[in-house]
Order: sequence, then structure tokens, then C-alpha cells
Amino acid sequence: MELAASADVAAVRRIQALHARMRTAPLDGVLECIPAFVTLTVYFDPLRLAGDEGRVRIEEWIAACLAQASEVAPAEAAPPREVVLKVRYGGDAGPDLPAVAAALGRSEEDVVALHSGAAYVVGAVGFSPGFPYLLGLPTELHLPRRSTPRPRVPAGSVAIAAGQAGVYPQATPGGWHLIGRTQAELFSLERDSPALLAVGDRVRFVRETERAP
Amino acid sequence: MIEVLAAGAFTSVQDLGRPGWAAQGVPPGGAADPFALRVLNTLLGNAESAPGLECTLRGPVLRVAEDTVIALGGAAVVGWPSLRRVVVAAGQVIDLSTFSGGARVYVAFAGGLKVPRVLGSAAMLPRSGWPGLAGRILQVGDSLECGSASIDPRRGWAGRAWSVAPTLLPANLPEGALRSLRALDGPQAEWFSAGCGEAFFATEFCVSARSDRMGVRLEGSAVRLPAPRELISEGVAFGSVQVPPDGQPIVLLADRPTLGGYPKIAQVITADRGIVAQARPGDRVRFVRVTLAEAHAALRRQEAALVQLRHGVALATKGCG
Repeated sequence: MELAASADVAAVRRIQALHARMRTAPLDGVLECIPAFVTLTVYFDPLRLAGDEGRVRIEEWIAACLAQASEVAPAEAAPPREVVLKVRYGGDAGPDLPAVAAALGRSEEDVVALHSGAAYVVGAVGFSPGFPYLLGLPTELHLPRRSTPRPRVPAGSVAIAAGQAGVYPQATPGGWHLIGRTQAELFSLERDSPALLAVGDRVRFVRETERAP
Repeated sequence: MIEVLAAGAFTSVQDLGRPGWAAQGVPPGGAADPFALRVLNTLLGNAESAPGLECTLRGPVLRVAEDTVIALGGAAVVGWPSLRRVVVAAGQVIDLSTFSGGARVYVAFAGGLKVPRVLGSAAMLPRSGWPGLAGRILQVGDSLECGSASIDPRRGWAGRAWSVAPTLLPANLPEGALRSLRALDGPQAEWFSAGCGEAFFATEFCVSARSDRMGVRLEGSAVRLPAPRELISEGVAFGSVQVPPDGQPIVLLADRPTLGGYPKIAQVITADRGIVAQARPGDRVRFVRVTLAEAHAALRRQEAALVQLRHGVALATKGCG
């Protein structure tokens, strides 16, 4: 279901609240929910929620969750989690930084300052396990994907493309511009909840100082 | 113990995947033809979700160290019967290298394969970096263990010559055959012009060699939006038919990313997952529009047949006990 027309922080907050409500009051027969930017997709077992009766039950459940989610005033809602990711920019860690700076007509220093100075919100988690799509990239840093994707992007790569920022949790193919790398584990099987970030979390990037071990 | 003498083209451990983690970006994964694996596991008295092997285009060569009961299904393996219990004697070699009629053969083992699970599932996910066989395909020299089976291979009935009605699974088809997929209109079907939608359902597509467990890629006359339009990425499903800007549709399978940013013109019905998962490069595919009620009826028939099989297996086992 679509809850907003454009992907912005307000839309993400509404979807986050609805998803939280759905997890608190699950409906038997619903298998999975995926929140993303402006939608929340509900997957259900059509044998357990069958026919018109099943459809009515799902619609009533969604309506109840929506009503309860919107009853919570923003001031009363738990403040969104903020995660700070330390980044080593440029060099081997961010091989596309020079090309990105050149394409944008700015210095590498400018690009790093803009990227690390912005406040981000996780709009969706997907592409690969734990990959966060981050809203809030300054418009000065908007540029299309690389014309040729890389067959292998190193894990931890901090990247930008298509008006968004992201971090590759695993070594996967990828078409975004790599400007830095973080040591943070975006997805770890050692945690009960393996993905570090969830829809609605706030994220900041800070430049790792040279003195760091 | 089962020794891998040859790995085959792309053989992986699969079960019914790991639903419940999609909000964290984890593809549900599992068998590309989940119904086939459920049938074979049921036949062996296993839990439906017990891990087995999924073999693609060319299967592995295995050797069993002790008497083992297996069941094969999906495409037809040369020299081995499908859809029945087969007792393989200690030391015997199971050569699955040649099969026909479809892209994938499933091998279930009585007791199921005993392999470590990641997020509750043994299913292999490529590029996940996960440990062991959850993160990679089979290699020569791998050895696999089976769990404890409810069937004793030394008992006379274990391999008795009865088999599941072959109509329970989609028919095996010669290479290049036309596969009909029943489908509903997708969430963005109305983005396409009425004429384009009709053309999509009238077109025969050809299955590309670039198909994999993420999706069956189709080639044919391009499906185009009347005007460029951007979709904000959203959840996709098994059987979603995405149309990228080049107009060549992709039917998403088990290892699909959880999110997709291409409009979805159609949705293949759950009962026809096996037909699309068995499509080989060079096979032809067309979509047949059905109603939601027809889709649910087809699924109910399929599930009822599986319940019937489970009862039949229980009775046969009991009667011979």
C-alpha cells in the first residue's frame, strides 16, 4: 500500500510507525511486511486469509494499525535512533572520490564536508541484506549511477548515487560511486537483529581521524 | 555420509528459505520450485522444509557411504526414477549429471541434509558471505550428512515401487517448449497502455541464458511504458514480473532482492512457481491472465493434493510397518 507520493522524512516516519504497530499487533496469516520509502508491502498466506473474508480481515487490520499509528503524537513517540558511522574517505577506501569531485566541479574536501555534514534517514533496507538507502544527501552531491557497475564492491563501502547515500554491507556487485569505507558491520549474524539499520533510523557520517588505530 | 564426486553446474542446498527477515533486506530464498521440494520431503516422511539439493541444468555426482533413501523430482534424471522412494546402497554412485524436461532437479534425502542454518534456514544465498553451504554452491570434495530418518532403508517397503502421480508437479517439457504461466495484473499494470497490456499477454517470450535464481529473464518484443515514469522502490514477490527500461521482462524467483524499482506488469500465480522455475534458456514463455479467484482455486487444489499425498504416505508406511 502506498502511504505518500514522495520519499521524504515525513513519509518514512509514517511508514515506520505503521510497521511498528503491525509488529506489535500481528494478524494471523500475515507472513511478512516490507517498509520502503512510501510503501508498506504486506505478504500473506492466501489459504489462511482466503477470499473476500480474508481480504476484509486484512483491510480491517491495516485500517486499525493506521489509526493507532497516527494516534501517537510525534512528541510522544520514542525519538528515532541515531547511528554514527566513522568513515575513511578517499584513497583506497573511496576510489571514486576524485571522479565524483570532478563530475560535481568541487574539491574532494568539499564533497567530504557535504557528505559528512548532512543528517540522513533510512528510507529503506534492501538490495542486499542490511543495505540502507539513506535520504538526506545534499543536492550538491546528486549524480547518476556509474555507467558501468563494478562486479565487486568491497564490504563497508560508503557510496552515493541517484540522490541517495548508502553503505554496502557485503562484497557485492554495485553501481554507486564509492567515496569512503566504514569498519561498522552493517549486517552481522552475531546480532539478534542482524541489520544495523532499520527504516526510520537517523544516520550521520563522521570522518575518521588519521590518528585512529 | 554423502560424498560429492562432481559438483554439477550450480548445485546448492535449499529448503523453504528464511521468511521473516525481508524488512532487513534478506531475500526469502529457498528452493526455486518450493512445491517440488515439499512433495519429495513428504514422500520421504521428512518435514516439508527439510534441506535437500537443488541441481541446475547439470546435476552433481554423489556417492553414499551408507544405505540411504532418496527421492528425485522436478526435471527427469536419465537413469533414475522420479517422484518415488529410491534406496541407494552403501557405496553406490548417484549420477545426476544428465537430466531433461526442465532446468532444475531436486534431491531429497530421508532425514534431510544436516547442515548449519543461518537465520533459521539452510538455503544457500549467493554473495551473502555466510558460512559453509549457506554461502556457496557445492564443490567437489564436499561431504554431506543426513539427519535421522523416519524410514529404515533395510525394511522391504522403503523403496517399494509406488510413486507419486506425475501430474502433481508440472509436466516435463522438451527444450524450447512453450510454458504457459497463469498471471494476475501486477501492481503497476495500469501504467502500461491497454494495448501494451494486451500485447504482453499475447506475446511469446524466450528465456535468456542470463536467468538465475534471482529471476527468469525474458527476451521478446519490448514492453514499453507510454511515457517514462519512475517507480520508488518497493517490496516485490516471488513471481513478480518486472519491466526494466529495455522492455525485457524479468520474472522474479527465490533469490530476488527484497525491493525492486521497476514497474510490475504482472504477477505469476503461486501455483505456477514450478513452471517458471523449470524454464531453461531457450524455452518459450507466455502469460495467461487469470482472476484472483482462479489463482486461489489453483493453489487450493495444489495444497489439497499435497495433503492427500501426506496421508497416503502415512498409510503406506503404517500398513507396511
